[in-house]
Amino acid sequence: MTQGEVRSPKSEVRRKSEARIPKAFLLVCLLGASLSFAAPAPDVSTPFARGFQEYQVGGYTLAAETFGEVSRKQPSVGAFFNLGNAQWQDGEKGEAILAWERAQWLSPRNAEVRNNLAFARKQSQINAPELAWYEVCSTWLPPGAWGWLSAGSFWLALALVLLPGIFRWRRNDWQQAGAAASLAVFLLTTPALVGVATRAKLGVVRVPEPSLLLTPTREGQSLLRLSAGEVARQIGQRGDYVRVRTGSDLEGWLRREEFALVSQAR
Amino acid sequence: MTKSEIRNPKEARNPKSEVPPTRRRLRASDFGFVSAFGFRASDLYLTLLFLITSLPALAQQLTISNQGGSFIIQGQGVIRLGPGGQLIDPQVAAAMQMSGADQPALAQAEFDPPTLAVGQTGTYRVVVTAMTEAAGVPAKLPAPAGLEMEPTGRAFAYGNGPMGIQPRTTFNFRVRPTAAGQFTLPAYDASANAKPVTVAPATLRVLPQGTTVPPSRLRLLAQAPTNDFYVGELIPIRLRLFDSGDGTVAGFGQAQVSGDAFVVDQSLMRYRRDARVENGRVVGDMVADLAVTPVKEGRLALRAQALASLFRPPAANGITLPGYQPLVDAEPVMVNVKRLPTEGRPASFAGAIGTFDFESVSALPGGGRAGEPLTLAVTVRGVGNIHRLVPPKVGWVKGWQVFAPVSGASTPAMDGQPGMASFSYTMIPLNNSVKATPEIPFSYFNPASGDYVELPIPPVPILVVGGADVPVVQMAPPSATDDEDAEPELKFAEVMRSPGATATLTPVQARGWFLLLQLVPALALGGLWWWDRRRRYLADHPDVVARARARRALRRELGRLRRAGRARDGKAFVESAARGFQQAAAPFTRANPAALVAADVLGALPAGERDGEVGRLVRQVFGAGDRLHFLDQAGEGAAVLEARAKVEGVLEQWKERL
Repeated sequence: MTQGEVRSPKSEVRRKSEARIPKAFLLVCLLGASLSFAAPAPDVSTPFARGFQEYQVGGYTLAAETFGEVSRKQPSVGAFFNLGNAQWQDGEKGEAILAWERAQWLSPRNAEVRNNLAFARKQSQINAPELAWYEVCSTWLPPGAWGWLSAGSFWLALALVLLPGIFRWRRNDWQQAGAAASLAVFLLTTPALVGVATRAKLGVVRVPEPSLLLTPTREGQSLLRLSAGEVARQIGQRGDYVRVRTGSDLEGWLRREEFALVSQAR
Repeated sequence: MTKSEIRNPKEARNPKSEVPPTRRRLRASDFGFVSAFGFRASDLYLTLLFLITSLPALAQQLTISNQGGSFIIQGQGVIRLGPGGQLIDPQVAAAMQMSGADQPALAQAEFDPPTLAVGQTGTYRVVVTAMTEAAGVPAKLPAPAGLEMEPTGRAFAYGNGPMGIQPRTTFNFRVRPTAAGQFTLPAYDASANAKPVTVAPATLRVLPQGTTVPPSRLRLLAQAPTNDFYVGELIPIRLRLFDSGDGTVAGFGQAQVSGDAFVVDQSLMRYRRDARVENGRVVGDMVADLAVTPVKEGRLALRAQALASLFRPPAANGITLPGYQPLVDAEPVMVNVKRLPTEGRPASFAGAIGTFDFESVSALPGGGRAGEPLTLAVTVRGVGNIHRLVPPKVGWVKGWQVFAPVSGASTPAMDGQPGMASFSYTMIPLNNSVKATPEIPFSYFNPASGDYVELPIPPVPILVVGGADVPVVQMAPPSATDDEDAEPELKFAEVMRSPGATATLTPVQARGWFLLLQLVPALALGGLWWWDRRRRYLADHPDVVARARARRALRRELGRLRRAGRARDGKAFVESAARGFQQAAAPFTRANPAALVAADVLGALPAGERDGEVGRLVRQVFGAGDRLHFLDQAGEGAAVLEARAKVEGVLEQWKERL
């Protein structure tokens, strides 16, 4: 401030408040940190915590049942991930990979889920599913986020185009830029939405070495023995059988109980 | 070649056949062989073939050709007649005989030994005369109560059947009776060549526990060291088929270990006869030494089997096939297998387990010019899985171009004797500053000490001459990202402590409510758009607004008018009627309704009505109003009230017009 300038009372108040912000921010941070460090032990009254404890003491079968219950009632990344861990430890490779695939479906960028899936595939000598480019794009965000992003960007673009005319606002550059950006986001989300839709047909072989049948019949000729945890695409269904295409582009029928879609928890 | 002296007319040189061309039934190739497998032969040919096929177990490879109408049969082969008497292709017939498809399938079964005591174990053996791929028995046999049966394995061998060689697949089941008595396994269907074949009933006699029963004449013993092993380590196994002393055992073969926990190295299998003294007599047991590699950890049951060849067939028990080779099970041997420790595992470890040392490391030639390749030959000697030794890879080495190693000859380590493995590297020194071959990291796991031993291949001094660097582009040292060996080891991530946010597997865009939710912004924006368009329309058409306003006001005044009429309030009736006329005429004059006088209202009327009844009524209303307002003549209202129906009708008519 140069000499002769008069500091207004309002600016004085603002200056004091600005000076207080870092302190308040620090206090909030410290409080948050202390709360996080002093987090109480998991409450065993919740099914999730019970499953956690069962897993810790080696009761993998019991833990798998508990996490399975949790994942049915309150599906979450943690529930599916822990369910996969318990089932893997219990020797159910197919079910474990299915649970981890579901966890990855909900949270595609979760490093732990990715790691365990890669670990399981390496151990079981199973290849990861081959995805098309738009399906790879769809893994950048959770599937539901693409829906919100697409719808939000579309309506925002439409609103920014329509509202200035309706309300007689003077057209600004930011409105035009916002509309263009929103429209671009909407267009860019379209392939990802298609990817989510096609990825929703991916499923996992649940049981060890089921026969891929030529026909959807009990006496159908066996084309191939699949591995538990192998990922295939569902391309049809009839009665108690689902038609799938394997990673090696072989099509055949599996019994319903031998295969489960990642995006549909029955 | 000289010109021919003999005149040869064209007709003689190239005579045309007088015989009309006939279609040859058996198309022959230029080489004189039939070009198809189907035989189209004369009766003589069929007779000849029938005579050949009538010889027992004749296996001949015949080639039959048709040359100028005569048949030539040569070589060896198999010629069979089909069920309808038709000839079968010799190759097909041979394949059918090899697979047993041309013979009626048999299935026989027996308990070995036929008598057991409670708690002892025996073998239930089923033989199906079919190839192993075409033979099958039910997964669960109809075992009577008190008899536990568990499948242990299968084996295949050829035998001599009534029609020549006969394929035989043997299925073994371990039998353990839990109660004394006589157990009969009823007849059931096995499968041979996709057809059911009945297995005859077999009877087992079970004596009370503790009773001494004669053991089976065929006893196979599997022996393994009792120490702990590691996954990937070679385990020496010895199978001994005991000779009962009567010289029954002629030999054995197809020693195998069932299950998916062990891999048998067939190249290390050796059979021999081992003399043993029993009851003062020397008997010759059959011994097979084999080596298995565990691929799983834990306490594993090693189940071994072998096919026994017998000099003398056993007494008829249930299986009466001549020259039958029974499949003999050994009692399972428990082996404790541990996982290789991850602590202290060198990066160069490639699965070598045992004790190893270098017998020789040499570079040939020992010197030369920069840029000239040399060969580093390495010979490793040791005990363990040396025959499976993986030569260590060499990464980037400054001053050297090193090619991938090439494995050479190897000798397995057996019976405690060390084996050998050799491999070599081709290396090119890139300049004369190098004085020795690079040191190559190598390590192995010593199961005796339980730790890893680093044994790098030592450098070999060489002499490189040449002044300048060789113009060879040496690759840059690999970074951690592009070295495949530097791939981070995946570790199993443990469970999460918190579940995280609840979410659903079905994405929102696939849910009905989400699609319905899109109606909200659609309706909001659509409504705003419609409102804006309506507003703009009304701004462009003020008469529409005026008419609507007039309609509303007229409706209001009509209500007042009717109330005043019902109340016989003349003054209020006149005032409402006048205001109604003003409101009705306002849109046509574009003036404030309150400012209109009778002349304005009349001006808004069509010409015909202005001078008619309606015009008169308007004048009457406005005149009465003026008089009521200015002269305070109460009776004027009563006069207008008399024309109440007409006034209401005119106003209704005007409202419709608006």
